[in-house]
Amino acid sequence: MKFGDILKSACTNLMRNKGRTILTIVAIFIGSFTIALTNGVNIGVNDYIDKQVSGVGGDDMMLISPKATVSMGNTDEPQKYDPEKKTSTMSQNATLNDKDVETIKEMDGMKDADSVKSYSINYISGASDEKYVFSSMPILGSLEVDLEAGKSVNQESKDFEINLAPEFVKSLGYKSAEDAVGKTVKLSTTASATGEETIVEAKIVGVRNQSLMQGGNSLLNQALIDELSAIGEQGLPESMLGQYGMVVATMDKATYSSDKEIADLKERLGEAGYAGQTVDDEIGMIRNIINAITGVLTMFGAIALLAASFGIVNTLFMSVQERTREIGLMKAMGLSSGKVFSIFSIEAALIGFLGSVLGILGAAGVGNLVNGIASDSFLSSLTGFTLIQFSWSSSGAIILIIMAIAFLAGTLPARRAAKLDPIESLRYE
Amino acid sequence: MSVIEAKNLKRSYGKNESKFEALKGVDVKIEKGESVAIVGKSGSGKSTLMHLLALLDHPSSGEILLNDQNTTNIKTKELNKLRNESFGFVFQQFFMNTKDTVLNNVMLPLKIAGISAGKRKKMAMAALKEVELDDKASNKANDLSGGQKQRVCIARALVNNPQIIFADEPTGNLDSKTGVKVEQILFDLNKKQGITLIIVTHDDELAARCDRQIHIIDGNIVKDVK
Ligand SMILES: Nc1ncnc2c1ncn2[C@@H]1O[C@H](COP(=O)(O)OP(=O)(O)OP(=O)(O)O)[C@@H](O)[C@H]1O
Ligand SMILES: [Mg+2]
Repeated sequence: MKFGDILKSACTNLMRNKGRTILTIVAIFIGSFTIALTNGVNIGVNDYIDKQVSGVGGDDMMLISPKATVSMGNTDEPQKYDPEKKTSTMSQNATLNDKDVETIKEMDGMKDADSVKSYSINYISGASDEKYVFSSMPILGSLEVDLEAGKSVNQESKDFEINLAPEFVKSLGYKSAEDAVGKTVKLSTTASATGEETIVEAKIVGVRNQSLMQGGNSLLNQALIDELSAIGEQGLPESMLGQYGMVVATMDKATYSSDKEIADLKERLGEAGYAGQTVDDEIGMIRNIINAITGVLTMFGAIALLAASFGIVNTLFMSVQERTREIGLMKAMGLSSGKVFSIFSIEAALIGFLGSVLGILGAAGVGNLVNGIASDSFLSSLTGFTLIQFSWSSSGAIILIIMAIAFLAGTLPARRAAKLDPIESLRYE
Repeated sequence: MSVIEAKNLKRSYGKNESKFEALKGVDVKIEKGESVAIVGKSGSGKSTLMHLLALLDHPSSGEILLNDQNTTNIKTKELNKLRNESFGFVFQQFFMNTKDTVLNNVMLPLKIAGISAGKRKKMAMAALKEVELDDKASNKANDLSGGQKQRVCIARALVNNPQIIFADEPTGNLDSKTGVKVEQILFDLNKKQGITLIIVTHDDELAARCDRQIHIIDGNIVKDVK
């Protein structure tokens, strides 16, 4: 018997008892639907988190601050003061200087290190002349800015440039993101020694997309930060210059990429008196929660599939029972046991195929619907967030896995069919 | 040349105390083109003998020669092929897929043989013509009368141009008039195409029409009349 004929006869058998076939397929559908949908949510959320991570800074970036040491340390005795170590306590605000930057840069596994200059901005005002509290940050690491309009700030430029947070567009008096691009805003900053206020003018070169991690934060280019920082330090004594709260280091990803190597790097930083944090550390928590939730839902889907595979076993056992005569006759006519086995196990795999494909199509349909509703309502503020996403590879994997499960379930009845003795099955009652 | 030959064939069922010998050492030699009736009382071992000759069952001891070749050590795969190509089967209870068309039922052995769909149809139509049912090819098998059903089964048995057709009570479920027509078709095949007929039957009239009658009582051949 040719494979095409085996496939055809498996299809014909499925059609012979439509009601029973449909019920079995529905059971598979439920499992497949659940798994496909949760998988879609998982992909959607992780994709968004990835985008956010690259929006905060590259994944090779590490933020380094002085290690906050509890005075009691790990021993019961108070820890000795060491002027070389940054052993500040919580109540003191530890700072880093150029020497620290050099030390960090020299460490194994670090490619580069840069100080993050501190600056303060009192307010921002734009076309509406209204003053607003303004939070901002420099561009860190190899950042890709997710923009709604305009372009990314130029780090090399001598001009003062801003990528404005979208929340500010309306308040500053612009009609839209496109309208805001190219406009000039006023930033107010104060020299910490003298308390003298200075206004710096900067150009909006782009407007950011909504961001989950950095809502309301605008991005400033290096020239603007240097200017703000210089104004802030005006009049300060020499000894208080060149103090940074944080250093941004770039890890050498070519040699330091595994979690273990990064952990090792952090440990060595800790020994040197610094605390290092990667972007993934900050967002890892959210990722873990999402993975845990979708993991549990996938489990439910898997349980549904397990129940459904018993359905397949039952359906096919009934089918073997009904077709005993036919199987016996075909075997008498020379059909091999192997082919009989194929007919039934392919029938099972077909049930799995139909159920999983329908489940994925159903999940895709529901996913589109939910995405539509979500982006109009509770997710409308998070541009670029597609809650449920499907990929060909994961859909294909789901179909293959379910077909394999169905096939395995089918082997039980298929074996019984294959072992039927033609004489026994053709005996007339 | 004998087409099929059995030597000291024994077949027993069960073990120990419940052991039962259905065939107690049967020797029989059937020539090519013969029509043979196996007759005997119910439970005498007729079907058991036929199943052994048709290579559907294995004897407890003794051997079967097909075209002078011993079949004892043939591999399952070869055996399947042999049955598919050399034998045709007709049963008392028809055994057909009643929900399927007449044509599909007749094509079944060819499908098992792996013959292409086009050739399959041609051969099946030729076989249906032989039993004068080519006009019913696309009917549901269920819609046919008993006699017509048995004729479809004969078409199915001869579609692969077999050497031997085994028929177990082919007219057992038919009234005498339709039975005669079915018999006629079988004997025509025997005469015109030289297909060997091995018929198990209770019916003395049918047995009398055969070239040869083998009488079985309690697992022994007691009379072999030509
Ligand atoms: N699988 C089996 N297990 C045990 N005994 C069996 C089995 N098959 C057949 N027998 C016994 O072997 C004997 C011969 O059976 P067989 O079917 O050959 O009889 P038969 O001559 O064809 O009878 P009938 O005319 O009723 O069909 C019977 O006594 C039957 O009970
Ligand atoms: Mg019998």
